[in-house]
Amino acid sequence: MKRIFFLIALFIWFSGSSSGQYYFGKNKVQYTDFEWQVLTTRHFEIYFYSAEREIAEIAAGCAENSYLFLENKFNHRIARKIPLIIYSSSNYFAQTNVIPSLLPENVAGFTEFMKGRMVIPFDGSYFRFARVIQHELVHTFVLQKLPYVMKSHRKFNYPGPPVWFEEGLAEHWSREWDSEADMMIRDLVISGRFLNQEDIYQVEGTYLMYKMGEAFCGYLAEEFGDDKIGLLFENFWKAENFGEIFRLTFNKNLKEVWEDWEYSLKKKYFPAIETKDLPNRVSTQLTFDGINVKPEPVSISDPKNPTAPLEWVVFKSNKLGYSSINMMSPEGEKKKLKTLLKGERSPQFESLHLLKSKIGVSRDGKIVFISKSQENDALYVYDIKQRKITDKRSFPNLVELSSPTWSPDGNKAAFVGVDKKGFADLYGIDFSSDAHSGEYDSLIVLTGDIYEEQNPSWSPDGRHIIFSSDRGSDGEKGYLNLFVYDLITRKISALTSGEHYDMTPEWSPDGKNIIFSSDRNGYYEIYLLPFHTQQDTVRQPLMDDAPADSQLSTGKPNRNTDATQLTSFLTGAFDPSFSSDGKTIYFTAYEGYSYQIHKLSLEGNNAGSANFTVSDSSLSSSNRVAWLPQRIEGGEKSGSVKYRNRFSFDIAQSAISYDAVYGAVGGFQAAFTDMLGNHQYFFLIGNSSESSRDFLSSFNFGVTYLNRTHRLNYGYGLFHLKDEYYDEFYGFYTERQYGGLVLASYPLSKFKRIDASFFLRQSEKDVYIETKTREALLSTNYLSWIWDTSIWDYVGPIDGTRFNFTLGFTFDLDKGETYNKQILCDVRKYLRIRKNSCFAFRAMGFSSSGKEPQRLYLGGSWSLRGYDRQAFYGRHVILINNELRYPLIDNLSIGFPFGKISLQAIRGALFFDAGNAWENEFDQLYGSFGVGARISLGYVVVLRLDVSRRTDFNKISSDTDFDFFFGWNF
Amino acid sequence: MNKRTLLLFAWSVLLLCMSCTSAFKLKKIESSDSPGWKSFRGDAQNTGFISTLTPTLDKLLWKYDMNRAVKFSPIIVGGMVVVGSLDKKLDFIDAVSGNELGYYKIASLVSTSPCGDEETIYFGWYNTKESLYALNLPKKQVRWKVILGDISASPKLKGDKIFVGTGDGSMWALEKTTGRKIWQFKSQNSILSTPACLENSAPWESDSLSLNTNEEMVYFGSTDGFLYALQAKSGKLNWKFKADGGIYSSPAIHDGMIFFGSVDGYLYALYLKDGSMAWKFRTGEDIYSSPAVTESLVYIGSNDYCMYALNQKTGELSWKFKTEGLVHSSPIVIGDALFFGSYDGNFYELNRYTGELLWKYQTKGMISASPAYYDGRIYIGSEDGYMYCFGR
Repeated sequence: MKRIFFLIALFIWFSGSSSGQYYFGKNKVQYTDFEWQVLTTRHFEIYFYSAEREIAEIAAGCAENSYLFLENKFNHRIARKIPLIIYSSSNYFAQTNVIPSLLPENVAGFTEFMKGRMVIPFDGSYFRFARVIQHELVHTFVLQKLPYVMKSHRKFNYPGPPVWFEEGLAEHWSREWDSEADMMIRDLVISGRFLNQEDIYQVEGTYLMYKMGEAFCGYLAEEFGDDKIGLLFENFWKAENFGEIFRLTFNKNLKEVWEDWEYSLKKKYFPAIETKDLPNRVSTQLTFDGINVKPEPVSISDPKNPTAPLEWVVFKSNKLGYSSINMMSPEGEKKKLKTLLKGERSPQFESLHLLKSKIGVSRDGKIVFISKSQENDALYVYDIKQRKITDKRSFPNLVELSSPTWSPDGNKAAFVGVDKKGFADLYGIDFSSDAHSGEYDSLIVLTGDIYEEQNPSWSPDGRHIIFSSDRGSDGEKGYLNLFVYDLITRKISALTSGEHYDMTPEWSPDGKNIIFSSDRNGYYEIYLLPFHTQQDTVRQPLMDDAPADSQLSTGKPNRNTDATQLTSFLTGAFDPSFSSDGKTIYFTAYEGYSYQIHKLSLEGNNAGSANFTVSDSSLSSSNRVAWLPQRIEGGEKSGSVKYRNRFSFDIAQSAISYDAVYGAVGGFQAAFTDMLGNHQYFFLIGNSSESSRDFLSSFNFGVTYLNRTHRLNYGYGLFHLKDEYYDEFYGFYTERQYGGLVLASYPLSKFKRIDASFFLRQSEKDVYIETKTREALLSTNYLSWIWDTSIWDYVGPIDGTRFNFTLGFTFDLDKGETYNKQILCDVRKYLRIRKNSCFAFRAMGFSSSGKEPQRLYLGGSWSLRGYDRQAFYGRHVILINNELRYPLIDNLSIGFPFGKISLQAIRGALFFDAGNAWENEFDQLYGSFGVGARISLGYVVVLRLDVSRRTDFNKISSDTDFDFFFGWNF
Repeated sequence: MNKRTLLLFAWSVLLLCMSCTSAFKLKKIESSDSPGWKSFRGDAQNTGFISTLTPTLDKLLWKYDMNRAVKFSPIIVGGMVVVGSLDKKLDFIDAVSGNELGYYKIASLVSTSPCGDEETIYFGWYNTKESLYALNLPKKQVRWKVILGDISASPKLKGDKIFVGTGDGSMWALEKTTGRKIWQFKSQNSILSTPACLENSAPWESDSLSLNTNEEMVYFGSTDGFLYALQAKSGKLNWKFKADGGIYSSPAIHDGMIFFGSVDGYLYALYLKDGSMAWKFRTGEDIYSSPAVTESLVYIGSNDYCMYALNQKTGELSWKFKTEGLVHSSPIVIGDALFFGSYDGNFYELNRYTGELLWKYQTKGMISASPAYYDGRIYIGSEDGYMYCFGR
């Protein structure tokens, strides 16, 4: 079986369709054919497509500024032009071929180390864009600086900085310390969960790791100076490990400085306990498992008692790894919880944008929400009463959508849309128009300018839409303030101003107040701001498609500055919303490195008042535009040219490499790719000769070209292979084969694809026990249908489904007869029980026939447990695995005299297997059962221990089989 | 003994002889009338200034392959260019011809500029054991070596003492002849600045600026952000001044004032007598370069790519010249010309009064080292691995 696995793996690998997984694997779909161009500046080559030219010029300005800043910090000059590849949205960014792996939704950009490419999407905010560019440029400088320092000092083997430090530094040198980061560190300190330096691996790769690293680097800068961090990189040649390099630079041990830092944080944060509280001490926590955010209350009539509508809280969650939309009782999820919709397992609901997008719930129980659907986001309407999707809208010109809000009558919605150029604006849609026949006629743009809009909320009287935006005078520095769009006058007015993040506004049911979250005073708290306006008659603004006059008005809507601070939390509160009666607020609170939904009665809760006087500069009526993003200046750029493929070295390895049919051969494999990774050449060179006489005939070489430019990935190549093999059926034999191949892979969605391959090869096979050489001109064809919705924990899949159905057919062209044919079907289902436990099931069948049929092995830790590896062999195989996977131990530290070893996760397994492989006659089914443990050793290494007993379904063997092996769960 | 055994024996003896050969090789030293450039910044006050005829630079006289990036500044003693190499040795090069004269091999990398005279060269390196060496040139021997810890700043020779800062924040005063410790002063962080020394009878001293001590003084900056003024004899602190950033720049003394840059971006001018600030000037970025000071102007490079010339008394900007890279290289002023390198790879010659570009030479690497002057020639190393000599 291993052989066919490898074979198929090989095909898919070379067809380049997926994320480095091959037999299964999700797909990176190239929905869009980008026409790339290159803008060259003093230090950068910026790769962009024509729709995002404006963003490219802004990126150029940001990148050049960042370069100068970091050149000063690192004291290093990068002589070559730095490649910067930009995308105008994260949905386009997800299609990049620069790296083969799938990009998680929260990735804001990355730096690839082989060619030093920075790949960054624009997310609507110029400030964040500039920050991400600077963050990634820190990595580029580290990638350049360290080898330079080491090479200068004749050292070639050196430790890089730890991930937490480098990412923390990238944050520290790309942004100001902000309220969100402060909240996360404060939470750690106050809750007593602050990690020791040697335990930071526990949060490796998480956002918390970034923030801890950032805070630590900030402390270093404050105590020792930023220059000392730069000096750290100059000192890398002086020691063999980071701790010693740190000590030489700062004249203190890392552990000592870490403890000093922790102590300084305690002095900083502990005094706040006197006046503030943790959220769960003074409000009612409603959710507990997973991350739960964006609460929206709704009253739905109870069929049993129509006069007493039931109140529910609809919210988003990722309780079991998938994001989902749920609703719960106002008393909490423990009282009543219903899952309405599960995301991330079907093309329609590829991603529900858990943290980025809020949901809207109408009075009659309809949820409007956003999900990624194929390439673009789509707007969905879900009817709670009917428990089904009742409407879906997608817009060809809008790539990303977020945070829809219903109009009071439930016929219209406003939301944020990002167009192909990358600009985020407010849009409105009228569902009551003839939507399905002319979807786009009902869409109008409300803002239509360069600024970012977030989280609109429609007023109960239908006249205003309040939203958060960077269009204020402080928006250039990334700050968000509240603005109100008057649907009658089409004027936008500022409600708040200043260097704050005023976010997620919501109206009270009577429309007299607005609640929102703001970080004024350094803590994210909920504020209530009265709203007064003229009571003009509301006309139908959405029928008029003229965008708003983006002039900031000093007009009527609100000049009230008597705001009330509703919360006073030690951590932070977000996403507030009113209960239907307006007496309670629901919100998301941060505590214990988790977001949970809480509720708070408004009666008697007044944490203080706040002055919300709007600064005149924000409301300046004379300035139509508050600020403009800086673009690259004329003299700094040399213009843009059409992108041309220039191939350069990408990866090289001494590899177990490809064989058209029979498995692996050793050799050197190298890849050459273009800058965008769209075109790839793989080369294989090796030799299996045992004497000089057959040196030339034993040359193994292969060249394969892959094209990933389009949704249909294809490739072709040539190969010549010769090696000795062993087969249970033939014994040892030598086979020489040469020919060509054509490969294709078409992803239907992120989860499904069709793979096809065609080999034409001359095969010369010398079986040692026979006297003559078998020669044949063979045509081999494979066709596979692959489906994968699995999600993984530390040791393997834990939820979802995986499916592979493959047909293979080899024809002897010389003799005009069938050489062999195969069919393979492998289905794996993972039924989630709790967060870290599931029931896993696999059923696999394989059959091959013909003159020289394919044969598979069975037995061992990955297939039929309790039996020796390769215990069974034949052209027919059946295998069934049943396994209960459950958590045993998390974060185990074992002490040794030389230090300690920390293990992230140890998982347990109870299993029962059955299967057999046979040649002609099926004799019986062999079975086994037992227990096992899987230990995650970090990254991709999993140690497996199985203890099992065999059974023939009549009796159980008295022998106990122990098996150690490495590898993921099936 | 057969032929093969004999050959093996001979080969072993040869290897043994080679391994016993001294790590110190040096051809005969010529005596020279020229004063040379005997330490980083050229003199005890770190002025980087020689009032002499302006050298004419219009061509590269020679370049010497150092085999590794040249990050440190050379000195010139006895007609030899002496420069530390990242190739684990101290190189001796004929200052006129550019031919190799010899080398002294060490176990690790020479990480500073040496100082010395025709008799003895002093240099420090990164070593947890003996890190400051005194080499007797005529005898081609190590005169003494002492354990001080990581040395990343150039030592300074003054009278019978040698001063050097170390990575643990200590400033050491040692006996020149024996290496014996005289005193040790501890700052809060690494010292990367070369000390400037002052005699008690400076000829330019005016009454208003006169020092309130008769002691010889030593001044240095630390990456802890302080500039320290110590009594050279005892190591006693007279005063210290806090900048807003670490001090990597070596201070320069002239006319009762001391000048230095800091990574806070400022060039500071203090009164020597009490360390009070006369003025400060903000450049665009951090300062790692050391100032050169003449009778009227003070010059310093900055990470904002610029070389600045400021009025020595007022701090007023006289001119600035923009290169295409960071300027860590410390300028020197010879006659009417100012010389320095930049991370853009260029070696620059400017008119010191106007900042006008007179000449430049493009090397193939960044220039972080500082130039040295000897007998009408300018010497500078580049990170392209070459030591360059310019002149006519």
